[in-house]
Amino acid sequence: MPNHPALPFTIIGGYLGAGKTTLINQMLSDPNAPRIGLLVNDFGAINIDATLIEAEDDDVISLNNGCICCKLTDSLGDAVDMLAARHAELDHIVLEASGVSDPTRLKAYAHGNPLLQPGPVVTLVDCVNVRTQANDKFVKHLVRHQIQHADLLLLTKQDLLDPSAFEPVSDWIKTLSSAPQVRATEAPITLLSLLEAAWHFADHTTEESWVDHTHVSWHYPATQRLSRKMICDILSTASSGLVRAKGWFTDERNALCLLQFSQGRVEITEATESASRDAAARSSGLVFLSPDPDFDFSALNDLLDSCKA
Amino acid sequence: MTVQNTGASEITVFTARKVITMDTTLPEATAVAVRDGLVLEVGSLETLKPWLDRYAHTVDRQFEDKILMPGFIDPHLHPSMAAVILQMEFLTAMEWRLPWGTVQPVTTQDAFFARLKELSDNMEDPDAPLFTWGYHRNWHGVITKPMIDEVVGDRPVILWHRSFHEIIVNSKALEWMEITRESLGNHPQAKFDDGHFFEMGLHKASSKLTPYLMAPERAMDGLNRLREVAHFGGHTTLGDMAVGIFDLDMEYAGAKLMYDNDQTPFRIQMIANAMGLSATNKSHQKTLELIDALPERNTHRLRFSNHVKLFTDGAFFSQLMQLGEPGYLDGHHGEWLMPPESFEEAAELYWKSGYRIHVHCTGDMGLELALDVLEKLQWERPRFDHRFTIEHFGLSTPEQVRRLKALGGCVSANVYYLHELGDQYAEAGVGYERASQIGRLGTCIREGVPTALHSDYTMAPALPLNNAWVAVNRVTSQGTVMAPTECLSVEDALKAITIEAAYVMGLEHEVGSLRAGKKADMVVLEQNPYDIDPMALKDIPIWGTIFEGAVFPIVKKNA
Ligand SMILES: [Zn+2]
Ligand SMILES: [Zn+2]
Ligand SMILES: [Zn+2]
Ligand SMILES: [Zn+2]
Repeated sequence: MPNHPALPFTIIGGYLGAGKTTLINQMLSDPNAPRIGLLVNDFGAINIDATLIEAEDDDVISLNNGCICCKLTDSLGDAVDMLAARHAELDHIVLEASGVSDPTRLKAYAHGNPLLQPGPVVTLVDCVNVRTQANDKFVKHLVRHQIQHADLLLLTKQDLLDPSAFEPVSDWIKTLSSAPQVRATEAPITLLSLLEAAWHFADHTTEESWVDHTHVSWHYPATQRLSRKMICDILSTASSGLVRAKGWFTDERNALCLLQFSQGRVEITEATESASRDAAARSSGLVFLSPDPDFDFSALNDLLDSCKA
Repeated sequence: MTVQNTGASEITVFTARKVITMDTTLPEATAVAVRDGLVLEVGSLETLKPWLDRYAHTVDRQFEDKILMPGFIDPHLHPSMAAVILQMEFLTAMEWRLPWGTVQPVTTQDAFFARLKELSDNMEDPDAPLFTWGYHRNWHGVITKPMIDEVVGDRPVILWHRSFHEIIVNSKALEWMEITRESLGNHPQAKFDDGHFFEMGLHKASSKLTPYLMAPERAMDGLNRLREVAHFGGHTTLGDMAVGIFDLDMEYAGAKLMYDNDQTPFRIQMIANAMGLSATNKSHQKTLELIDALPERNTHRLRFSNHVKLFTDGAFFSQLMQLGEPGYLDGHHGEWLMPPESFEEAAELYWKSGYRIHVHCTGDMGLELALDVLEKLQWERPRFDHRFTIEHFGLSTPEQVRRLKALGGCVSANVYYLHELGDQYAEAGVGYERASQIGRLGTCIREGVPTALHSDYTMAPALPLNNAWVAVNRVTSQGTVMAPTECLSVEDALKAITIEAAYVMGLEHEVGSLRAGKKADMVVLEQNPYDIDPMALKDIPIWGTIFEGAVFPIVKKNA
């Protein structure tokens, strides 16, 4: 496998009318945007500006749900793998989830491709209609679910709302989800700023959710450069007691690296320019997880100290 | 009287012990006169005299001890999907009668592995992959890669789940598909050690397997098998109820190559999948234009018309249907296949363009959406005779059936759900009351809703008499009779596989019953369905069919 850093994979979800298409158009027209591979998974109503499509044609793929009466094919999953294989030409993959899909389920695609780095779920919320939708007999569960499982909420259409009505909507959303809220109308959203915010928050939420009651976790600050090879060696020998490890460190060549260890497998990938560098800066260090309450983390500490490059 | 020489083709008269016409005006007869593929007249040799005196004719008495009925109609199946599945060996918990042999039910893990080994041992090519379809955890227990390796380790083995939503494979299959542990990353739903692929992980295996199964020579072989299956069931008309499920042009080309010839004893009504096409065309309007032009491709046996297919909720076999209160036993929620607003937008466009809309609805909430939209459309632009048809009709309420009647809708039901899933869904789905009322067809008939039956093959066997048998007896695979108040009479069940099936597809003027001027399509039965125990309905031997006057016997084959 060529030595490219894993391609960040971000999911943009939200119910119909929340402004996903507007956001995507904004992203595609931003001259400073990174090179993104865009997957659009929606029906009929979608109407991306034709000129943009022409410009970006290669990287915009539209699909329908593979699943109808039965599931012999899954064109979306196949398309994710296809774009991932082109990781050398891309900086980022953005999947625009259909209004009826469960964006958290789509995350599985990124976990299942070693060329991809699973990223956050950004849910767009239509401030004007969300409360009606959340009580609609057909979509109430779906709309609430999409909010509850977001890493970042982008609140749209605030400008169409009476100013006094915004706070109550925002507060109501907080009763469903503690995910940070970003207002789409505060400043023009660039792809970069959105992705950076999303990746930052996602990293924190995933790390917290790791630490459940049945495992013990331990944090190693990783303030000095560490040897990649030695980390691998340590993890493969200590693996019997560790279930997962994750975090950022700087390697012997001063490259910022993401370490991921699970199911006995060590993966080290170099950070990309923008989003992950920012995420790393905010959550540096390595976290280790063990199911054994008596796991000897001090011994691990000594071993890691000895890896200094 | 002398026979006039008008250059007209010769008449063939088929005589029978009884002709069941499914035409209420003349329900029974003993002879059918046929010319140029059409019924000239139904009656007796006596009443046919005015024709026979005037024109050259032969009397074909080979069915004199048999029963003739209008050829059966399945208004909803998917040939291109069936073509893929029919390449697999059926290893199922239910009995499946196929032209090349009956698959006996396998309901334990030991029996499953014994059959798997037997299937492998019987294969000629030692390296060929073995595909099976029909595995289900409830019957066959948890099966993993090492367990298959132990039974069949030397060839790729791929077990496709009954619902198509899971695949389990052995080590040889992983090798053959070039799937490595690394290539699966940390996929939560694609497990290398178990050889198990499901949900979002399914494509990791299916992306390697479907291209193999859809390779032209295999797909054509599958389509050929479907032709045998359809003939074996006694069909003379099929509805492909979602052309474009994979790729419209490819499906059309395959159908044209395989079916548009005199070896095919049926015609196919092609109904475009407007949902799938709208995703690739990016607008409902563009999709409409494409669908408008499809009838230009019509041939003698393949025909598009003013019918389209839309979808509301998820699959019945995977418990993804949308339910109203009180929902599922375990509290999970179903899925929408299209956003409700998007469904409404598409339905409105096709409704106002004069199309007849078929909507896949499995749960009562899916049905509710279809009804709400139909009500709104009737308010905005009232239409008579619009044939808005609820496809599948898994769960429903009696009030919804009444509403459907008031709005002028039809039902095309997969009543086999009740037989295969009734007990299981009572235990682990929706509870007994609602599970027992899957396929509420008695109410449909009482309310006067036109009601047809379909197979959605392979969701149900493509055996209309078997589906009629479920509708009449409502017996589950465990032998329980569920909601006997919803049983159909034999007559209503037979209508549901003939004239009513023609009606939902808008073909009632051509097929579905036997009368002067209709297509000479018939099924030849060894017994009269009205004279037997209704529990024996599914076992009536089918001698063969007549398609547009040409006789097609079913040739007995060995597996
Ligand atoms: Zn369906
Ligand atoms: Zn499905
Ligand atoms: Zn949830
Ligand atoms: Zn179907």
